[in-house]
Amino acid sequence: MSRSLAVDIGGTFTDLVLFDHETRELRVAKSSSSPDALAEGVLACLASAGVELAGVEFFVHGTTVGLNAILEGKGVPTGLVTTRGFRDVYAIGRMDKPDMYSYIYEKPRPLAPRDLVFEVDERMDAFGQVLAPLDAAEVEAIAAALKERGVRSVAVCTLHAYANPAHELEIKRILERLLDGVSVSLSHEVSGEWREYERTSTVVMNAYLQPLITAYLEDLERQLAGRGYHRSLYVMQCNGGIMDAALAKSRSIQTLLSGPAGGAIGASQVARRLGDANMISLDMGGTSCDVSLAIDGEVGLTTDSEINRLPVLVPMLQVNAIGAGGGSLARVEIDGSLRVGPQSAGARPGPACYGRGGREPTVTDANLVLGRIGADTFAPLGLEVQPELAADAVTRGVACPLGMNVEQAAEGIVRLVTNHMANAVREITIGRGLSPKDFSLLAFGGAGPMHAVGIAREIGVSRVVVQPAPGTFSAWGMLFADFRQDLVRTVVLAVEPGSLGEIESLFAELEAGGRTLLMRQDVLEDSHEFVRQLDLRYRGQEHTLTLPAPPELGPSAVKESFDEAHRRVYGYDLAEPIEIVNLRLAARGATDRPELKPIDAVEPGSQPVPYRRTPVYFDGAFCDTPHFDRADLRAGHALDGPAIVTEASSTTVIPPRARLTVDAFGFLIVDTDGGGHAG
Amino acid sequence: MPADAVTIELIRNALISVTGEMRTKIMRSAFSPIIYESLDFSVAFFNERVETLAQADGLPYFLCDLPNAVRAVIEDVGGVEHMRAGDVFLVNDPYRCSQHPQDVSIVKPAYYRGELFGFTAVRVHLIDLGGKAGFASTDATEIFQEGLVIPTVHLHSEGRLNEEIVRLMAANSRMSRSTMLGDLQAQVGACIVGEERLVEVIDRYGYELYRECCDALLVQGEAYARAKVREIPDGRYLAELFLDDDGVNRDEPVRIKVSLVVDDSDMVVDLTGSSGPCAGPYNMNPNYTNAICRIAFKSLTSPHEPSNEGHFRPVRAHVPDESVFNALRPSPVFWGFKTAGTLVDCIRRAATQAVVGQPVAGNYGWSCGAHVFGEHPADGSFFAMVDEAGGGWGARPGADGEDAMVMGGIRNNPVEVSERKFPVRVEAYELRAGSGGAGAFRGGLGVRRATRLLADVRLVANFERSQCLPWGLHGGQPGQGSFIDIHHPDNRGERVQKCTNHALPAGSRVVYFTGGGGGYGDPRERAIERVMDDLRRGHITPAEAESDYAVCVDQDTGQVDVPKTRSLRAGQGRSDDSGETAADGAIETRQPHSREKREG
Repeated sequence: MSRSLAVDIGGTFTDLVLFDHETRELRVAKSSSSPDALAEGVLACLASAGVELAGVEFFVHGTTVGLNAILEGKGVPTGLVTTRGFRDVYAIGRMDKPDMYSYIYEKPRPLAPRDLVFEVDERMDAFGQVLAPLDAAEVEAIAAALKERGVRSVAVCTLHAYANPAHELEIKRILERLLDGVSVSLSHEVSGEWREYERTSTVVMNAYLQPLITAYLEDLERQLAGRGYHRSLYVMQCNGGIMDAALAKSRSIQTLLSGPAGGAIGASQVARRLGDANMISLDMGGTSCDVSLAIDGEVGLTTDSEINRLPVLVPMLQVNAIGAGGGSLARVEIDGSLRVGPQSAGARPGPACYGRGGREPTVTDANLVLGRIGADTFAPLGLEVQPELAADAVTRGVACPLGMNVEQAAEGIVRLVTNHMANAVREITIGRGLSPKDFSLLAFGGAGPMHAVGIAREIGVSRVVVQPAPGTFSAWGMLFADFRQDLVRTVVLAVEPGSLGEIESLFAELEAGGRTLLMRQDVLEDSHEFVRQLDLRYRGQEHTLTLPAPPELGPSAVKESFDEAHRRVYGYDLAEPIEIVNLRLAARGATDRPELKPIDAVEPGSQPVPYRRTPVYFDGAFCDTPHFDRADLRAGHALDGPAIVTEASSTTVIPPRARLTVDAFGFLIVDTDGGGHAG
Repeated sequence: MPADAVTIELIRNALISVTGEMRTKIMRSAFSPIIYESLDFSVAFFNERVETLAQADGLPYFLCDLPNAVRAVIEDVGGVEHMRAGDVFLVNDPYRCSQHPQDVSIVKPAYYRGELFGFTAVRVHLIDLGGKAGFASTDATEIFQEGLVIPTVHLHSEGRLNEEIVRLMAANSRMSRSTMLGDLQAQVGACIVGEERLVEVIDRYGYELYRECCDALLVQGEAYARAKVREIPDGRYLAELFLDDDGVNRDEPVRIKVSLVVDDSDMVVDLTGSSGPCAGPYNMNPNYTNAICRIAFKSLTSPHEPSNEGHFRPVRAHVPDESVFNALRPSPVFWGFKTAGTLVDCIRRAATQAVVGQPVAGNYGWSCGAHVFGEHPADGSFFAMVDEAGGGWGARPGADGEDAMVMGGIRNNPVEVSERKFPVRVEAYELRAGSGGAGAFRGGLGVRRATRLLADVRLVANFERSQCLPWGLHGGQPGQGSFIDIHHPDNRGERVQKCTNHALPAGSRVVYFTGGGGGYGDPRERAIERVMDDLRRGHITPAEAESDYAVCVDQDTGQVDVPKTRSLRAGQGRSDDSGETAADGAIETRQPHSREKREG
């Protein structure tokens, strides 16, 4: 194995990370994304970075093709076949109106319109028994109607298909026989869980994306082959694993959230390397901030997520996204209160200091006023900023109305945006019975390292980590991802001696399915790993907790571990018997991970030399603060805040009383309560 | 550190975050679907003067009523000096602080270093607390038929669960003791976690600063709301709507009359002229009425602002003594929330004349309950399948009404889950074609759900706006009304809107139809492509396209017959632009008109 390559297409930039396994050299590059020609964008990025594909043996790719299509409503016309009587399950949804005080609420728009929803005679009961056989002639008629309408992709969701998929499989067989080149997605293959609306939404989303993802990947594969890359192309998935392009063409929905998933995998990797089992990762850019977790070195997943308000029943990275970024706007409300975000100045007009017509102050303007970033920070982005415009905006928008001076106002803005992010971390940790104090915080994205120490202090985290090149962190993380497919089966069974046999045989079935999926991708059998989990609850309860299945599946062992988890998350346990709702299996296969190379160590007694010193405002006063170029830092360097570390796409702020050390691999490790000298 | 704008905001965020955490806690650990699926609960936190400081999303009906529960507790125990750390109180008095006995409030005094600094409180709807029918009855004539009333009791005394209370409640309920205990523990758990987090917040900022900031938040909230009211021209705005009946006197509509009196930054919701006390269970107590007025006020002035007591200070209700809004013991109250929904609509409609809030045509009635309960044949346990069905919402300028939507966070029961848990088989679940009121913008569609019963059950139903239909606006037509068709195994059929303890044998088929929303604007002005979309999607028939929308479709091609459509649309003038429902005259004569006008 000589070289591994990761290319991650984001909304604005395409990031590239190349790792040479022999020299252990890492190369990163960034280029602008080309939304209209994404595959060409990948090649352009390779070209601009001067990367030759010869010698690349492993290529993993994250793409926003799917997400863009959903956000812009540009998927393919999608048909839906369902059980007679249930044509409108998808349109009806769950009927809730979450915006509680508002009289007006718009439900999410279905991705398959009602005139492309077809009913067929068939019915299963909740235990998978056939109540009415499938009417094959009707399916044939539907095929004809789909053909006439020119539909290229069809989703199939029949009632209780999770319990017995026979009818869905038969429908697929008939449709594929009669419809050439039409892709058919089955609900039980995309998700084996009950709840017909959520499963329908999931399978329709998959079908909506399938032809797009397929065409995109085929195009990319062809172009890569033209440049001499003939191995498999791997795709980053929302569950933090990878799959090969062939599988991605039938599991399109799993390509969503690939960027954040790459970041989360990277975070879990850093966590393991630093010996911190638990890591909060915080990706803050211009308009939003994504928070996710690695727990015990594993990416935190959820099966209860939404994309553009449409539910998705597949395990996805649990990410808490909030509207807090460098472009977040600060304003004084009619009641005299100061608010920051969620509105953002976006790329246009951007912060006031960009001089593109933005008048309201943003978080970036505030940081500029405080001296935490300099005008030169923006040079690599090709921007000339005007600090006086930032000061004007903060003065007019916040300082004057509230009777503060401009620095007080700017520091207030930064404190509030920091507070929003701290609350987002609290939600995702404390809300699940986890204590942030048991985590370290890894910050990336353009604005993450700037606010990380402030956030960490608010939530009681004592260690902040900033890895080299935080601007391309998601792509870096993708190099560490394993193969992974998640399988699930809804069962609803009591945990008692009589049901253990059934549970064991269902798990064996899931394992066989998982093994097939791994083998299809040529994952060697000796690297297969199967991780079993159970969704459990007290009988009578609805929500479940997901726990690892004990090696010996005894009723008392399951009950004890569930009681303990319930106490931790909800504060109490009950004498009630428990039941299993879902069996979950993660089928994994290992990949060759990069081995990082240490950076040059510091010479004994040497101190890093700041490239300049400026006054920076902390806690109500300016302090004389040194600025360091990250390239000048060596392993073993240590310095006390206040200090600023700058690099191409990011700035790390080390406030007073925090202490920075540089580890052997060039990671910045900040002790948030480092006993440094206060300014 | 003084209470500057930044710190005030930090405290605001902290309080919102605390109530959000309380909400997550209860949703995830409650046993009853009415709590975790229907979100029939609310969560709030108060200062020691029982002023709301923060509250979390749940069911809006509840939100503003929680302080009344805290006040009732304080009154019943004889003052806060009789409370101890670790005490948790339970109360459900429907004449002071709940809409019905099933709404059980848990109140926990919160202490910082021994000093009372406020209260955390959670209210949930316990699915059964006795009464003459499972879930509820539509024909109760006194509270004693509606469930167990519990004046303030200690559920926990200084940290210890009072098992006697749980025993007493379980003995009076069709719920299992474990479900009852699970739901109550979830409430207590949320209150405890709320108090713990608040103590952490106070630790961080210091008690004095914390209190100053909380007070400042109330001042800000009031300033915000008053600024919004000042934008409304002073005057008296009237509107009138009706409930079909009170469940007992089935031929007599219940009148809701609102005079919205705006004077500078104050608003009074004067309910004079509304019906007197009902014989049936549609009464509301004045505290609850006041809370509902606050909710309507908030939807008009600051729907997206996090709210505290300050936001509600400019509004108050005027409730006449002899009124459906002044329930006195022992009058029945269970379905007061139906009255409440129509009250919100009525306030909203009155306000629309003052150019506040967007005009929205009538909805199907906020929720239509069709609840089935009985003994599960598998193990003989009591089951209750609570189904608050959604329906069509009203159209508004620029947009059709939403299809199949219910108030607040209530969600429907997935078919796959229902069939696993309850002895039922769902045969169809679909949108109800043609149910939305015609208009330039069409009312949303109701739903049709057909369920075969696999066991003997009893049905409790409350379908509203079956007689007094969801109104249209500005020439829009009313939506179709709601009803339930029951097909008995002996082939007998019957149609009901409201019923209590209606015994249905296994094999019966219950098919409910919820109403559509009212339309907005003249249907003949509806864009032809929208009419054709509706046609293609099966929401209307070709005959309806022609009769309601004056769009002719060529039967052979399925395309618009342009010349005929043009002449049809040109030939008829606008039906009515008085602002009243065009079809008012066509509705049965016993149907009272909905009205609105401005005085003054």
